[in-house]
Amino acid sequence: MMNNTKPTWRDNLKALGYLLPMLIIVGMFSLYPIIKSLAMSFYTDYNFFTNQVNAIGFDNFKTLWQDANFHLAVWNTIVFVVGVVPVEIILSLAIASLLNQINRLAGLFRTLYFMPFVTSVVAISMVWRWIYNKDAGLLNYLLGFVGVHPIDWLNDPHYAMPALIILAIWKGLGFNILLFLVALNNVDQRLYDAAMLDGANSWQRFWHVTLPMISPMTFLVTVNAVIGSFKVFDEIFALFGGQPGPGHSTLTVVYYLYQMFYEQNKYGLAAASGVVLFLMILVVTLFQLWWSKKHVHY
Amino acid sequence: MNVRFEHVTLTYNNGVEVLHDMDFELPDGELIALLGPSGGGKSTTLNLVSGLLRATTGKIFFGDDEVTEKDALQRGVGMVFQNYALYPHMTVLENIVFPMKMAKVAKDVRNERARALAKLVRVDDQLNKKPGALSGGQQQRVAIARALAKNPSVLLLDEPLSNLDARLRVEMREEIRRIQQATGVTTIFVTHDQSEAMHVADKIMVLNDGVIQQFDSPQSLYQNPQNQFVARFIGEPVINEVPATALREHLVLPATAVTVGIRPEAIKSPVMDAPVLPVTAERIQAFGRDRQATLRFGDYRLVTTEIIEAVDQVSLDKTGVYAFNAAGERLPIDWDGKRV
Repeated sequence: MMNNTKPTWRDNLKALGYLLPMLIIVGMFSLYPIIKSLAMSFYTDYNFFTNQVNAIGFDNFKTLWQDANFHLAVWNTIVFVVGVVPVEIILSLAIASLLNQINRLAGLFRTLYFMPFVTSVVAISMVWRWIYNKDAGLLNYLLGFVGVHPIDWLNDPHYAMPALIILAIWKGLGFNILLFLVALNNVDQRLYDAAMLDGANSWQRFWHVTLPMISPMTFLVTVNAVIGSFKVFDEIFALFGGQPGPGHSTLTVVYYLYQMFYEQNKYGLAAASGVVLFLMILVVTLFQLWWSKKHVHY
Repeated sequence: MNVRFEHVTLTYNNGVEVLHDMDFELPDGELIALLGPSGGGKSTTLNLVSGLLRATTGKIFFGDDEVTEKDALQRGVGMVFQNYALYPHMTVLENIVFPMKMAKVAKDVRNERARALAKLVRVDDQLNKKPGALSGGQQQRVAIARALAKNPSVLLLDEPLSNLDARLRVEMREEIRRIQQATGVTTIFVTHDQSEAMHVADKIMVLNDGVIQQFDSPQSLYQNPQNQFVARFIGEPVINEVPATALREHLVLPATAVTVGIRPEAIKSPVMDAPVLPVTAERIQAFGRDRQATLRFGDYRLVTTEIIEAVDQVSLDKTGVYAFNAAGERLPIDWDGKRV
């Protein structure tokens, strides 16, 4: 109905009726858990099974502030994010650019790179456990050719984090390559012709045309990769057989949360660490948004 | 810089020869139009000049230098693409500066030159805007300034006006003319619109099926078409075409003539000493300043712009009547011959 009259209460109620089923689902499975976990982070004396709250306060956050394990988890998470995201972005952009250049076998390579994304993390981790094996692993075998002594990737606390980072980068490549390929395909070929006529060499064309033109996609991929990396858990669980790495060397915030919740039944502490993680992601994402205002060209 | 093609052909990878034996010389400092229907080979010819395409056989010269094997950059051509291909993330100034930046021109020199060019093409009040915020005509101007920024040997424009609306098109074609004359750079532009080419070009090359039909000044193309294709392609309204057999009792035509082309403005009210055709008026229309009458001559319709009231006979102005043979080649008409 096309009219400019102000909607009446009746109209609003009718609209609400149509929206209600969706609102109930969203409220129940999205809004309520968010609010509840936020509230739970303030429960200092709480019975999870009877949902009885005896005391509230900031004690959970105080505990986190003093807990060396949590500090380690935050530190490891940051190391992981910094170790994974830049390399993953640069590598997937590089591979996508190369794939964009070749005509033959591009489809095959695209499929190969995409495989990790559609394969179960647990299955992937099983394969990587073998690759990382000290005595029989593929990686040490290959490193042997360049004279590197066997490394006990999964049991040496110094190498557990690099091993995890390599796995995460490899796993994330496929999807990011796909996204970058879409963006690269959408760049107007005429811009490259124009840049070539303007005297730009292939590196300058990449720098002055490709990078700015795909910047919205780079931004999307980066935000996505940062958030995903902050929340890393399953790779650790599967790769190190249900342990946060040798000597807690790959204990991340979500792994800490998991331990508090499932192993130690400290629900308030688990919720509080979740809130801290949320704030960390929020700060980084806001920073990225601010930065994108200047450097992303839509 | 004058541009010379010596027996240039172009064959695509699939073995189809799209340009046949192109042999021409474009004079220095003029505005030249490549005109023809789509698929006629005009954009292909432009790309051969630019170096974006390589000739299969033959030689291309810029002045005295052979450039056949040189790429677009080495040839130093400036090009304006059909969709302008401005860098959308750069401001107008940055766009114009870009070629000079790539050529490592000192910063203050290139900024000063970019501003001068912006002034020339009249976008000097838009320097800090992004191309997306400009109108089509302004984007076109920026694209021309960018192409001029590197002092091009030749300026090439691929369908420069096709993305603009009718009014802007008239404005921009005059602008292209003005800018070309101000800079004196040899300019080649591609168009499928004959009136566009007729209005601004010093010389027009008419191309069809990868063959040069005629390369001449606009006026001689119109008044002296070498073949039926050119006669039909140039001129608005389109030339009237009547089989020679229908006209032989009124005109003395060469024996091999198959078709006669009559320009709409060559059909006039009866005058002395001119061939006369019996006609009946079918429809007479006026569109503002323009008039157009449809006349019936036997089984054929003739369109004229000179008749304003119903008449039963018309005269033919001999400067607008051309005879063509079966192959479409122009044949001379002997106007002093007797009527059969």
